[in-house]
Amino acid sequence: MKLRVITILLLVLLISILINSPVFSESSEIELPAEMEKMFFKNKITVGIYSGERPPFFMENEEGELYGLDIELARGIADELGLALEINREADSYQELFEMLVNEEFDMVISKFSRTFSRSKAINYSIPYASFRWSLMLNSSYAAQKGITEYPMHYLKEVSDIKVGVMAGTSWENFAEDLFGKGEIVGYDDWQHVLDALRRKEIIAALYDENEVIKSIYKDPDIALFSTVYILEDKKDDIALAVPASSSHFLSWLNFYLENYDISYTVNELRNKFPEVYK
Amino acid sequence: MKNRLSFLLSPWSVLTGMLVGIIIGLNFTGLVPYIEPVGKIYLSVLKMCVIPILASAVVTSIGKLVNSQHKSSYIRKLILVFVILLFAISTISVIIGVGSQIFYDIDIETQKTIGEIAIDSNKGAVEGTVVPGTVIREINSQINQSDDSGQYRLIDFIINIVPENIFKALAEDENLQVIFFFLIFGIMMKFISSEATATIMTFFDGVFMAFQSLIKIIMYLLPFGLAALVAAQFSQIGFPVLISLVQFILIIYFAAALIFIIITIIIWQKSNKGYFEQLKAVGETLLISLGTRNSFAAIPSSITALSEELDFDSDTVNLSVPLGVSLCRFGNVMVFSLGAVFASQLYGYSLGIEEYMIIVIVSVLAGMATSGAPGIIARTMIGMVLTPLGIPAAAIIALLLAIDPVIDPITTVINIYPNLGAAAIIARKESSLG
Repeated sequence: MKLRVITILLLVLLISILINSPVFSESSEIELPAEMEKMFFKNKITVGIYSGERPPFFMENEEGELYGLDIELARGIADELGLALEINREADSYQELFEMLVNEEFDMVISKFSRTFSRSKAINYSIPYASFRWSLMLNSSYAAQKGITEYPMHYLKEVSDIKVGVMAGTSWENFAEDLFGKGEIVGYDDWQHVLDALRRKEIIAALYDENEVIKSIYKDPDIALFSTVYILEDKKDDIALAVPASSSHFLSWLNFYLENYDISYTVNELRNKFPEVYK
Repeated sequence: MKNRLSFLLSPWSVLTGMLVGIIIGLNFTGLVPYIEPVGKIYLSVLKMCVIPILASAVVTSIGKLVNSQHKSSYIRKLILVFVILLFAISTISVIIGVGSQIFYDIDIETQKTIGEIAIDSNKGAVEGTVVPGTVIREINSQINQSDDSGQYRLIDFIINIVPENIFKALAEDENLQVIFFFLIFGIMMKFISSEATATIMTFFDGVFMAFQSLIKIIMYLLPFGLAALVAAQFSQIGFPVLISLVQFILIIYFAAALIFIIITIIIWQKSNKGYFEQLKAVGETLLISLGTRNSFAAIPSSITALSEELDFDSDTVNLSVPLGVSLCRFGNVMVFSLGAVFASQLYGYSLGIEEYMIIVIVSVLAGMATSGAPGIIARTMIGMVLTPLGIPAAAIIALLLAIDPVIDPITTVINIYPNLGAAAIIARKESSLG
């Protein structure tokens, strides 16, 4: 009887020593912030990417494998954290992508995601890892007929009977409205449709980012015949990582990561890194 | 003048020199760095003689003219001949441009090539120079920060004719300003004493003869000089991009050939020499302009050919050739007319007779305006022709700049050769200036 009591006491002692020993207590003693805890518990990081392609950010190669700047970035972050990478491409629009992030269905979004004030109300953005200036394409026949030879902005801001084409359902609709208060903003589902409309003079100008404009002009150089590209040096579209509003600690970790590896791309740097996209 | 070396003066020797230059430039590019300095020195010597000859030729001929009886009819004739020639060449070019449209269409490949050239023209821009023919521009969305310095208007041309400092004009090769200064100087011969006039005339006659003699001496070296110049040019030309533009280039060459034939017939008719004899006389001038691509460098040899070998009245030649070469850029007029018609086809504009009239007239004005402008800016002046038609100019300017190495020799020939025709027409009828 006495022996049993001693044995139990010894066992209790042993267990309490084991539990309190440094070997077993590390993870419980330093408590990770909730969002980090969640990722380490799953042992993976879930990154949301829009279901379409946005070369050179994410696109498929000939074997159908996803690659691009955003994929490299996601992989680099997962490796740095020592976690597995899971890519979720269920979002069929940027609005859906945004809503899924708000609902914390991903840990983060890396999807050529532009920083905007309205999205910032509900989610956290990192510092930009790529930055493009706004680019205005102007039908050059129209410009020549209206006598616009050098600077088009005064004319475009003042007249009301102009149509400006943008990608429907993107922040470019708002950007264009801010820039051309009086003109009519026309949304298209596809950038190629915007270009076709510009060529047919259905719209006289188009607004998009430097990257897409430069990409299409190198792909179809005849665009240079019917349009002039004005890069607006004071208007920037910042591409950043996004995390849910609650993930403020993960956000600072991501900013540290971007700063540490000096990740900040311009169009020219992307052209050098992914030359095949700009051909 | 006959001596053992006179075979070097034959157009055949000069032509051989150029052919050797082409062969070296295309096949023995390793030699080019060694012979390039020879060409540069030769061109510099030629150019060195241009201003003294130009100035003295203008002063002496105007000085004689203002003190002669026939001056008003002579000046009227001079202006009339140049104006008619300018409009004739512009009209011929437009007709050739329109006529050539029957034979080909501008396909998507050509459009893509021109688009590529337009995009690349941004990269080619030398730092600090404004190339208006760019299709990608950086601007501020709120304020216009560009100073519009790339815009060259017709009024600038007129303002720039008058030099504020003649030594600055001389130093900066502002030939139009130099001509203007010496024209005024020559006219002043009417208002000074006859002894003073005589002194000035003797002085400028001496300058003229001295530099014409120098030119005659260095003509013996022309085959070598041109070989070196041409070798350097051909080693730098890139052909691949031009293949889909070959039609446009051929049209320019065809127009140039037609103008060349017409002018040759005019000179032949007026000179009373045999056809081949007169071609031989002007051959040197033509080869210099082809090889140097510098119409001013061909002035001294034009004057010699006209007044010494074809026996035209030297006072007329001395005035009309420098004046014509400086002011009437026939080659540029031709390129602008053809380029404007090509642009209308490229953009699918259907032009009426009024628009074609605009092309003819504005091409003449724009062509003349190039005489006050440096190289790259000169080509951009096609914008003056396209703007009233509502045709975008950027891509066409880029196109002209891209094909410049190929069309420049032939446009230089057309810049100078009709002036010889003009001198022949004016000189024959006014052979005695009294």
